[in-house]
Formats: sequence, structure tokens, C-alpha cells
Amino acid sequence: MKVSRRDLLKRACLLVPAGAVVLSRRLLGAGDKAPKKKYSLKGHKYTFIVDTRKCIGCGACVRACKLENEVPKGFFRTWVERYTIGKDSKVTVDSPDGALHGFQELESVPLTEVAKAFFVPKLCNHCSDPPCVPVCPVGATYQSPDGVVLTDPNYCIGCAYCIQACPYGVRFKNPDTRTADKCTWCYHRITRGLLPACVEACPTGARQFGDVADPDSPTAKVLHSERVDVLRKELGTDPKVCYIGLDTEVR
Amino acid sequence: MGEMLFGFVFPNERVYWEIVIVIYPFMVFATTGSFFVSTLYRLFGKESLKPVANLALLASLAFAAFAGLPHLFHLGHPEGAFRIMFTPSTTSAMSTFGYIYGFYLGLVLLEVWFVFRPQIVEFAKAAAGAKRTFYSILALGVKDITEASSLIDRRIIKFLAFLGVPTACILSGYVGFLFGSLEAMPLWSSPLIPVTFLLSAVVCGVGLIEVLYFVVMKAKGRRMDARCVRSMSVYLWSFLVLSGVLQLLNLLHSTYGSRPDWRFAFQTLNNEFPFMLTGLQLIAGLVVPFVLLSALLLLRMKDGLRHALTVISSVLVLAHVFAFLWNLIIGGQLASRTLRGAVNFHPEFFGKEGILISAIILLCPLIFLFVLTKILPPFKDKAEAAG
Repeated sequence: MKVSRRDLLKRACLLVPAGAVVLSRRLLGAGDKAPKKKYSLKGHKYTFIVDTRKCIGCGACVRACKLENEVPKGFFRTWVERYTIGKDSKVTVDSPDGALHGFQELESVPLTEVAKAFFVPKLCNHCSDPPCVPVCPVGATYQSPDGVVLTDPNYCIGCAYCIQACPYGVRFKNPDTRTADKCTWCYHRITRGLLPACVEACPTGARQFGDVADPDSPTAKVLHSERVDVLRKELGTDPKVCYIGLDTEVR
Repeated sequence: MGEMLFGFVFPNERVYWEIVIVIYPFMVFATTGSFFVSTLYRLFGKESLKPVANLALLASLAFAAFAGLPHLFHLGHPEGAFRIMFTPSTTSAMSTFGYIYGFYLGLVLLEVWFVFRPQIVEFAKAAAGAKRTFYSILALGVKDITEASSLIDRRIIKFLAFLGVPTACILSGYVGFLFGSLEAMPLWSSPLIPVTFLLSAVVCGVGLIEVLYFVVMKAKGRRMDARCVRSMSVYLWSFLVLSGVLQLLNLLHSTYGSRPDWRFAFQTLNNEFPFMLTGLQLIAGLVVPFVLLSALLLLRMKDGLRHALTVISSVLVLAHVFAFLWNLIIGGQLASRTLRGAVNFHPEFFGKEGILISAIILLCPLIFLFVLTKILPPFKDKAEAAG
């Protein structure tokens, strides 16, 4: 079969890019598509680690969460707080619009008067003993077998009892769905082997997420090497969000 | 919904339970308290309360019938309300409330039917046309009002009243438990709250029946029974004292308990609602009626003045109960969990959970009671009405 130079170039133009696509998918994985392995609900011990020393208050996590989960305006599944402690020990806390657009310089406390300042990202603690779960009258709020606290928006009747029961103020009544809403650790992502959107978006690695059931996971290593604390330990809710460098002023 | 009042609050914090949720326990108090008044005559044989016993029972039914309505207006998905009953979560205080409320409503309905059965049968026999059919349906086909059947009726009524007392107590106390069990809310989280609710319910019921008795008698152009009014003022004084003392004990206990979140929440409430807390709940609603009722018990005075003061005290006591619920429910949500700020609350007028809807919801049982008194007159004749 005689192949003209023109035909050869034509076939090459078609085959080379197609081959490149196939090869790149093989080598780099399928991007954001789900891994083929079926997700098992058992055997997980998810933990979220917030390193307050690394957070720069850029708000990328808040924006990513808003986009990923279509969080309505004025409400937050995650937010960042800024603590400014003056030399006179006066504590100023703010979180303008949940830090959706980051932070401006604080005008009320002159920079020269600041003893220390830091940012604290907040999200649902996915407590092991969650106060929001037993109060739900219809069982719409539940703890999944892999330990994540979720709310079924199709079953929730919007009584707000769970919102009142949460001591961390992370729940809200979604004005669009008229049901209780909160952070799910991006359950739709983690069950596909992906990271929560906020973790993915954090430019400094202040947010880390992983399964500490695997002792070799990076999260387990951090958990076992760093001194961590949880919010409002005295309540006995046993939060699964651990903080590195947590200050006593943070509630 | 509200916005930040001062300081720093978590960005999702709002007043999520608004006026309709204040109305909700108020209506539960009204029904259980009225039932208590009716029971004092039917079970405990307090003859002095006979003139208001039937009215109290009908009021109890009227308020019970609408006690769930405020909750429906509050729900984001009221169409799913029956999930609380059909697919309940056994760990939830709210789902258990549905069953207690359902049982209580059935019990009151049954007692009303047995108490008014002789009248229903009499109307069914005496009336003609549509009225006869209507009362025949109400009689459920049972037209036997012989002495033997009346005796059985009386025994059943006594048994229902006997069963109704703990049920009404559980219902009103349980509403308190709905709030008291929430540890995250410092002003609510107290083991004394259910008992406070129970006593407030009795106070509310006695006050309400006193006011209703006054209104009905005025409308009918009859005089109130002096013995009945005096007896009710004694009950009102007694339970007001118990309720007030318990509220003060709760306050003292929490103040000395030195919980920083409680102190902050109470301070916020005091700063934001000084009129509702000190003016209405404490002075106008508790101290003034206490003084007036004490004067009624200790001093000799003419019946007209006695009745007027009892009614004024009753109105003030109702205001006290409303203020107590307002301060607890709305006021309890003002302080932020951050303990560094508070949310604001401006009640909407036309909103789904606003002032207008709340007023309409409160009017519903009164309209229903008016209709009920037309169908089942609580006062047989002039002689009985006057005692």
C-alpha cells in the first residue's frame, strides 16, 4: 500500500494528540474523576488537622467551600477567625464575611500595640459524640459508619433543633433548602478518595485531612508527632478536628 | 433572623426560634393549666370551681387543638411534620413530645365528649333538622342517658381526669425539657426548667380561665360567682408564689454556679430586654399580682372590687408567663457561643414567624373556643352559671 506524504501527515495529526491524551491519563491519573475502587464505609478514622501557625487568613478555603458546596450568601460551612491580642491583653476577634475575601488590616488596634495575632479556621468538628445527632426528631442528622456527621436535606424538616444543640455554632438553616446545613468534610469528595475542597485550596497546608486508621498516612504522622488540642474539650463531644497551636482565647 | 448586636459572633448565629416558638409553649401551658382547673373540680371535688369546670375543659380542648400550629409555622418543611410521629428518632426529645401531645389531645377530646354527652343527647333529641343530625353525629349513635349509663360516664370521666393529671404535667414539663436538655444554650440548660414550666402552666391556666370567665359572664350579662372567684384567686396566689420562687431559685442557683456562659447570657438578656425582664416578668407580672392577690386574701372588700382585682391580677400573670417565655426563648438565643458578642433580634411583622402570624395563631383557639361554647354550652342555665 502506497502512502503519500500528505496521508502520513494527516494520520499523524490525528494519532499523535490522541495518543498523548491516552498516555497522559495513564501517567497522571484521571484528574478529578473518581477512582474505580468501591468505597467502603467501614474501617475509617477521618481526622481534620488545622495548623493555626500556618494559616495566613487568605480566605481561599472559604471561597473554595462556597463554590464546591453552593453555600448561600451570609452563611458558612467554614470560616476563618482573626485573634488580635494587644499588649494590654485585650482580645479582639473578627471574621469579616467569614473571611470570604480575606482580612484587611485591623484599624482598631495599632500594629505597634499588638502583642500577638493569629488566624483560626473553623468548621464542623464531626464530634464522635455529637450533640446535634440525638436531638433530631426525624433522624435526618446522623453519623455515618465512617464517622462523618451528615444531614439528609431530603428528610430534614427544618426545625433547627440541631442548630440550637451545636455548641460550636457551625450549623445554619439554609434559606434555599429550608433545612439544616453544615460542613460535611466534602463527603462527596472524600468518599471518592479526594480531599475536602478547603484542604485542596489552602496554599500553606494549614488544613490537613486524612484517614488516621492508616498509621502511615501523613495526617496520622502529624497527629502522632505534634501537640494538638480540640475546641471546648470540657463538653465531652470528642471533636475530630484537631488544632495545632490553639490559644486559650479560642472558643 | 437578626444581625450582630455587638462584639464577635459566629457567622451562622441567628435567633432561629422566633415568636411562634414563644407562642408554642404558651399554648401548651394554656391547655394543660385549663385542664388542671377542670380537674380540681372533677377529680379533687373542689365544688367552688364547678362554675368554671366546663369552660376550663373546653378551653383545654381549644388550646390543645392548636398547640401544634406554631410549630408548623416554624418548620422549614411543615409537610414533613408527621415524620416526627411516623419515623421518629427515639433519642430525640422532640419526637417523644409528639406522642405525649397526641395522647393528651385524645384524652381531652374523650373527656369533653363524656362530660358533654348528656347535653349532646338532649340536643339530638330535642332539636330538628340539620341541628338534630349534627348532634346525633356528635353523640356517635349513643343516646342512652339513663342513671345507670350516667354513673358509668361519671366513673369514666373521673378515670380520664385521673389519667389526665400526670399526662398534663408530663406535657408541660416536657416542653421545658425540650429547652432544658440543650447544654449549648446556657439560659435553657437547667434541670429546674421543666419544673418551672410545669408551675407556669398551672399559673397560666388559672389566670386564663379567670379572664375567660370574666369575659363570658360580661358578654352574657351575668355576675361572676364570688366563691369561685375567691377560690381561683387562692389557687392563683399559691401557684404564682411557687412559680416565682422557683424562677428566683433558678436565677440564684445559676448566679452562684459561676458558669461564665450563663453570666454572659443573662447579662446580655438583661441589657437587651430590660422591660421584658425587669418590667414585665418581674415587677408587673410577678410582684404586682402577688401584692394584689395577697390583698384579696388578707383584706375584706366588696365583691365588685375583688373580682376586678382578680381579673387584673390574672391578666398580669398571663403577661408574666408570656414575658418569662419570651426572655427564656428569644433572650436565651441572643448571647453568642463566642461569649464575645450577641445577635440582634427585630421581630418581623408580616413574616412567616412574625408578629401578625403569632397573633392569628393565638386567636385561633379563642375563636374555636367561642364556637365550642356555642355547640356545647358550658353554662346550662342562669342558676348554674351563678353557682
